[in-house]
Amino acid sequence: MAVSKPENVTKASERLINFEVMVGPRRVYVEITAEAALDATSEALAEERDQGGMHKRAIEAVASDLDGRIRETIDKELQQPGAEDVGDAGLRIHLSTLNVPGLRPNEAIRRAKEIIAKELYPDEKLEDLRLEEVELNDEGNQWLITFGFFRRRQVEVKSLPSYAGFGLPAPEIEHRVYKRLKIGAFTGKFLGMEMIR
Amino acid sequence: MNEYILPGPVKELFKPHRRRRLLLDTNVLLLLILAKIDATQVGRGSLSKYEYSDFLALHLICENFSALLTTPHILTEVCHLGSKDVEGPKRTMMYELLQRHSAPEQSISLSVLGLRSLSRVGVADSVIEALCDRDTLLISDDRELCGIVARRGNHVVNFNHVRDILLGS
Repeated sequence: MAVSKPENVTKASERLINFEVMVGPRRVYVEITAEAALDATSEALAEERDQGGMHKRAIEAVASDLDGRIRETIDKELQQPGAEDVGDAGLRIHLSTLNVPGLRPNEAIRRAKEIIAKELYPDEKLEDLRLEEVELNDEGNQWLITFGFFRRRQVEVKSLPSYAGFGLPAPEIEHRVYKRLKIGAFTGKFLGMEMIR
Repeated sequence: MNEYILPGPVKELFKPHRRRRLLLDTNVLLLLILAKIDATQVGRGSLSKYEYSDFLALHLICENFSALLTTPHILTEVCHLGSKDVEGPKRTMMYELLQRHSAPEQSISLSVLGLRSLSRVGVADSVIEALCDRDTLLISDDRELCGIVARRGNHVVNFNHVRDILLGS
């Protein structure tokens, strides 16, 4: 898929630079930090610093570095439920640096904790809820955040007469369960949860 | 770096272990070494899942232990992963720091490790599992390895529990 030269380059703030590229028929909005731009183009910048071409050159260099990543990201993001359409089949992608996806690790952990406690188990007190594992998947587009907590489960005791017959509640065992949440690394969206052993 | 203070609950978590030898698992040792060389590595490459505050906490935790322990397998993994992230003089610094860090290296012959353990967690983690004893504290962020060591009645702290405390403080 062909990736065009950057267009509509703007500075969103002192730190953020926005630009657009066409990836095949799709217009993609990219947001990167100025540091990432500088980092990617330090050699180019050394030559151009005094010639006023620094900004444009930096953006072009970053865009060409990002071509492969943009293509992969678009393909993957489009398969995710709720990909953020911004009109004309465009897709907004935020790349805060060249190597790190949009959501910082602690932001992803906070987001995942909020989702598990408030959205997935709003009526349950999750006993000893703890962060157990943090991973960025191989594609770099999903945070995999694992939490552990205790749950009580009623068990049936087959060797004894029914507890109900004695007016006793069924015995309970406490066991620790582990849930892995997938959080979109660019969008912060909750993409799913799986139980792991 | 010296201005950073460990939150009380993190200090409490490690208080009972001060006299033990400290064994850092690969990812945690990599964080300690690479972030010391170049703080901008945190949040990128092999350290993409960490924040700088994680490094600061780890650094202060390690200062409380006088006896460190490592294994050739951990050192090999750290060198392998670290070499992907840093090159040139920084890579040389990585080796220098590893030389300074690596207190006694210990290993165990594969022949005495259980085949079940080897096939389940691999060589490096099987050696860690076998080396952990009453006098050793393991810090790892591998949930499975932490569980295995804890179930054997040995001392382990999941570094993610520390991160959880840091986030809440």
